[in-house]
Amino acid sequence: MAASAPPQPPPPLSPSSQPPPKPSSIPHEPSLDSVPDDVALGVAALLGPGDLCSLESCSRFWRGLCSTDCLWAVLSVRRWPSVGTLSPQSLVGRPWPSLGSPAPRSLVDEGEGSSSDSASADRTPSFAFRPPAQGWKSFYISCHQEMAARVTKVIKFVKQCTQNDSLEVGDYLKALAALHTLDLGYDDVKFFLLTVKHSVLLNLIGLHYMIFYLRIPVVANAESLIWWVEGWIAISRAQDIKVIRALRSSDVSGRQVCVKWFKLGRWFYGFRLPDESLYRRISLMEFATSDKEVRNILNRGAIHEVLRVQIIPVIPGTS
Amino acid sequence: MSSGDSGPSSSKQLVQQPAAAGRSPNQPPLLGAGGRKVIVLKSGDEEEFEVDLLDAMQSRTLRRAIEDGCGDGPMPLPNLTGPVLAKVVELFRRHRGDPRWADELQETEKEGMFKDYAPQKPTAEVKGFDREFVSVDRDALFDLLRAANFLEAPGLLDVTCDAAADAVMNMTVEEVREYFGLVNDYTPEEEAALRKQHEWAFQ
Repeated sequence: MAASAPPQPPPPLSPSSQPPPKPSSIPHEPSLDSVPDDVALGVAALLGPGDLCSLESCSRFWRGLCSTDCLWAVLSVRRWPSVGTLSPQSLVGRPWPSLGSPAPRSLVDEGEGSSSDSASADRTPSFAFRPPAQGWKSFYISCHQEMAARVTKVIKFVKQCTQNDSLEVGDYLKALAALHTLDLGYDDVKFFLLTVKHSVLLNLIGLHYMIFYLRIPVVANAESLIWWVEGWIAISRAQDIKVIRALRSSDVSGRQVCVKWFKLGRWFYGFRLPDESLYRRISLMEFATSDKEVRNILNRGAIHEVLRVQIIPVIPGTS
Repeated sequence: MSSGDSGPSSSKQLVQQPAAAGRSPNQPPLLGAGGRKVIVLKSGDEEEFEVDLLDAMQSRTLRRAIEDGCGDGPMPLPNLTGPVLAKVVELFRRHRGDPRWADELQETEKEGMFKDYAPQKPTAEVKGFDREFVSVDRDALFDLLRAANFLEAPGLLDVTCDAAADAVMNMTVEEVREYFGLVNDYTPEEEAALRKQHEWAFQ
């Protein structure tokens, strides 16, 4: 915060109450500053947190606009839907209903039943914000940071389990289960796991979590939904794009992993067939879209005839 | 009646049924029943466009004007240029029945005028049109944004805001500034502080 700057614009600036500091009055100057506030707000309302922050850094006017509480209330509710058991509009400007619920359900580890006041205060001290009428942005940030801290634990776990660059499927599935316990949502996965700064293994875990735990269907599954009502297909299609969009926007879609699995030979009319050691090299995009087999192998883990499944990152440039 | 010559070919199609008989100069168009009515919009650079009366209702500004009985002569819209107005008129035509505004229209329904304007889901065709509609350069997009705001047309506003938001998505601060033509009025210290404050979003 710029502590040395007293003439800071108040963050929750109501866009209609104060005209924008239009630098010039040329009517058709190609600048968004010459666009009315309502439109500016309309554009801002379509942006995600990162883009809002960028816009906020552009100029004072935009800072006021982008800090508008309703934008962050909507973002919070969209990201952690349980925050908004009430509609976002009704939440803005109201005291939080009760102390038990400041922590969104998705941010409470496990043991929903035990979310007594003290327990939830223990677990999520940073959510004891009040009044929320003013605090949606900081609420969003503290929720975000809380999630970050939790995901970091899983990331550490995966790193510990990675030996000689390869990860056993047992640990892989444990990491997924841990994410599930944390009740990670789509945006959390996208933000914390599907990023270039993490290894492809963590990317893969995030992607796997999206597909199998968040049940965001992938393209290859769309046919199986054909008997669903049309609307549902439309929804699933939109979701397909969601997974792929997440992949594309994060620049990790081309990253590759090699999945090796070792299968005990089956018995076939009294003869045991030879054991099989198989591997497949796929990119994350292929994992998400076309390679159902690998998806299922990873999701099933080392069980029954499959003795071992290893996941090895493929470093670009090596064969 | 308007020339309509300069307008897009689409607006001519609309004129077919009502022709001259549909609009008697003394009758406020809203009160007429049956037959499509057209109104004439006149851009700042004196171009005239015919638009189906009910399509024009997508704009709250135009609707107010029409309801106040200003729909008889060409309706001057001095802050819209011809090309912008041409695009807008085309969008209104394509968005006929769009739930984004048709719901609102149904509420204000009078004398069953809007009965064939039942809300419909936007078809793939409409969505394709919307995409095409906003694939224009930056300045044209800003013109459309301003037009949307002036006309208070929710459908138009949605489409254009979407495009602007798409454009700045994943841009850096400098890129956003350049795109929107914003003047940086922060001191360097303030800017550094803001950047630090925003680190969480760019980890």
